[in-house]
Amino acid sequence: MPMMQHFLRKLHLTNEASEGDLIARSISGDKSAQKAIFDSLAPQMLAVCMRYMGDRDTAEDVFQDGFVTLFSKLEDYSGEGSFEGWARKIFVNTALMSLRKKDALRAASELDAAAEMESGSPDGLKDLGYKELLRLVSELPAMYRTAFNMFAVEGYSHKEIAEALGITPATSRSHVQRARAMLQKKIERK
Amino acid sequence: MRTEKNEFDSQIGKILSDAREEVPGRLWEGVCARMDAKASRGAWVFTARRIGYGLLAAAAAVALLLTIPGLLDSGNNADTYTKDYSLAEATTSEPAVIFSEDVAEAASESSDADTPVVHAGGAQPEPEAVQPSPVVASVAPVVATEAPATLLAEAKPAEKVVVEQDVLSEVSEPVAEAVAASEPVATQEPVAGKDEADDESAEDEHHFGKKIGITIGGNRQNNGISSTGAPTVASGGIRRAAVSLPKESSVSETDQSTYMMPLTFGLGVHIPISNVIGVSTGLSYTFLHRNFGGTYTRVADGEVSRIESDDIDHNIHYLGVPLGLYFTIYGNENKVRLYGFTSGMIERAISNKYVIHTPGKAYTLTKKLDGFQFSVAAGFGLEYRISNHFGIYLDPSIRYYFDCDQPKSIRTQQPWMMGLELGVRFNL
Repeated sequence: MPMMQHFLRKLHLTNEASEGDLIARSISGDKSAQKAIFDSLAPQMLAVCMRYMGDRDTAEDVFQDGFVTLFSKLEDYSGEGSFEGWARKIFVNTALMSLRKKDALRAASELDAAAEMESGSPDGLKDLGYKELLRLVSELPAMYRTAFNMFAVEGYSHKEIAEALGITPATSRSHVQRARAMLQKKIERK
Repeated sequence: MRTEKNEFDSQIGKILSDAREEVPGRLWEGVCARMDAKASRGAWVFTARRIGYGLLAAAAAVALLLTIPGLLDSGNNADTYTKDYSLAEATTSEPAVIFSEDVAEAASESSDADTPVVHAGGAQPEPEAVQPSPVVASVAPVVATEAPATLLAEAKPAEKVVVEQDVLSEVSEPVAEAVAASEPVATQEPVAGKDEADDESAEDEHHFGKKIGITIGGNRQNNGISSTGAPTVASGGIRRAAVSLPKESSVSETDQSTYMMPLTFGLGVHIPISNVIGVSTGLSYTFLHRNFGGTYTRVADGEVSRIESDDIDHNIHYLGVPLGLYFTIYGNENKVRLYGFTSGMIERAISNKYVIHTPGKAYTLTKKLDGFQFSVAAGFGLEYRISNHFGIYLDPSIRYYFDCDQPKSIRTQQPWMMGLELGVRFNL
C-alpha cells in the first residue's frame, strides 16, 4: 500500500494521526475504527444523500452503499485534501450511480422555459431553514436537482458535471439555471 | 471549480453543505450487513467466475471430443439381461424360434412340444467334400418331412433371414423365386427405429419358408458345389439354401410409438460483446424417450430368439454443445433480463438403450449410435440474475433438427419442435 504509507509518513499532528490511525485500522478490518469513522461522517453524508435522492428511504439506501464503498476504497485515500471532502465525492458518485440505475437522469422536460433567472437572492432565503430548503430542492426534477447540487453545493464545474451526467457543459449550465429559477420562485411564494 | 456562481448559489450552497442529518442506529447495522454480504459475494463471484471459465473450457473440450471418432460412444452393441422375475417361467414360457444344428431331432421333438421350434445352427460340414460356410443354417438331411417347412412357415412375421447370394445362384428355381421375392436385406439385422415394412417382409418370409421346405424336398440339381465354386451345404444330392443368422441383437417396431416430451437441461456461459449483444455456449443434456410395441431379436450364445413385446422403452441421452448469439431486449441492468437469441447445437448420443418388458422379465439392449445431431433454434429467453455473474434462465424456442441418420425419436418424426430449456448461466 504505497499511497497509504506515503499518507502515514505525512501525518504529524495528533488529530491527523488519530484519523490516520483510524483509517489504517479500518483497512485492516477493525470494526471499532470503522464505527468511529462512520460516526464522524454519517450526519453530513446522510444530508448529501438526502439532497441528491429526494426521499428518505432511497437516501438511506444510497447512504449505506456509500459507506460500503468508502470502506472498500480506504486504501485509495492519499491524504491529499480533507478526508471529509474525499468521502463526500464517494457519496456523490454513489448517488449518481443510483440515479442512473433508476433511469432518473433523463433529460428534464422543458419546465418554466421562460422563467426569469434572478441574479439576486429572494428575500425569504435568509429565513429558510435547512429542512425547508432541502424539501424545496427535493421537489426539483432529478436532473435539475443533481446538476444544481453538484454545481452550487459541491462546487463542480460545468465541464465536470457534463462528464459525470453524460451531457454537454451547455446543457449543464442550462439545467443549473432552470433549477435556480425554480427554487427562487418556490422561495418567493413562501 | 467554483465558477459562475452567484449570490443565490452561494447562500444555498452554504446552507446545504453545512447540513447535518440525524442518523438512526439501524443504518450502521445495515452498513455492517452489506459489508459482510459483499465479502461473501466476493468469494462467490470469484467461485462463479472460476466455474464459468471452467464451463467454457469443458464446452470446448466436449466439442473437441465429439469430433473424435470412437470417443463418447453410446456404448457397444450389448445385450444384457436385466430382470428375471421367475426363472422357472423363463425356460418354458418364451415363444421363441431357436436355431440349432439338429433339425431332425428337433423336428421330432417339436411335434410334441408346446412351442414350435426350428433348430438350426452353425455350419456343420458333411463328411464329404463340403466346405463349411461360415454363416449357414444347416438343415439336417432328413428334410423331406413337413416339419421344417411348417415350422418356418409359422415363423414370426417380422423375422428376417438372409440367404447368401453365391448359394442362391445354385438353388432351384422355386427357391430362387422365393429369395428374389423376399425383401432385400443386407447382412445387418433389422435396424431399430427405422420404419419397418413388416407386413410385406413377413409375408415374403412366410412364402420363402414354404418354398425352402418344398425345394429341399425336391431339388436334385446340385451335387453340392455351386457353379461359382462356393460350397453349399448339401447331403445326398439335396441342396439346401444357406441362411445367414443375425449377428447382433436388434429391435424392430411393429406398433406406433408414444413419445415423451424431450427433457433438456443446460449449463451456459454468457460472454458479452457489447451492452446488448453477447455470445453463449455451454453444455446441454437432452433425454428422449418413446414407447412402442415390437419384436426383440436376441442373439446370445449362438442362439437367436425373438421376443414380442408391446412395451418397449427406447431411451436416448444426448450431450451437446450449443453456440448462440444473444441480444438484450429489456433489462440489461436489472435483475430480470429479457432477450432474444439464435443458436446452433451439435449433439452426440451418449446412451441409446431399449428396454424390452415381458411378463416376468425385462431385457436391455444397448445400441451404439454414431454420428452427430445438428440443430438450429431461435427464440426468446428470460434470465433472473441471482448476482451479476450468476443467474437462472428459461429459454422457450423453436428448434429444427436436421436429418442426421439418428434413430427414430420425436426429433426424427417432428424436426420442427418447440423447446423449453431451463438452466444456469454464468456471465463472464
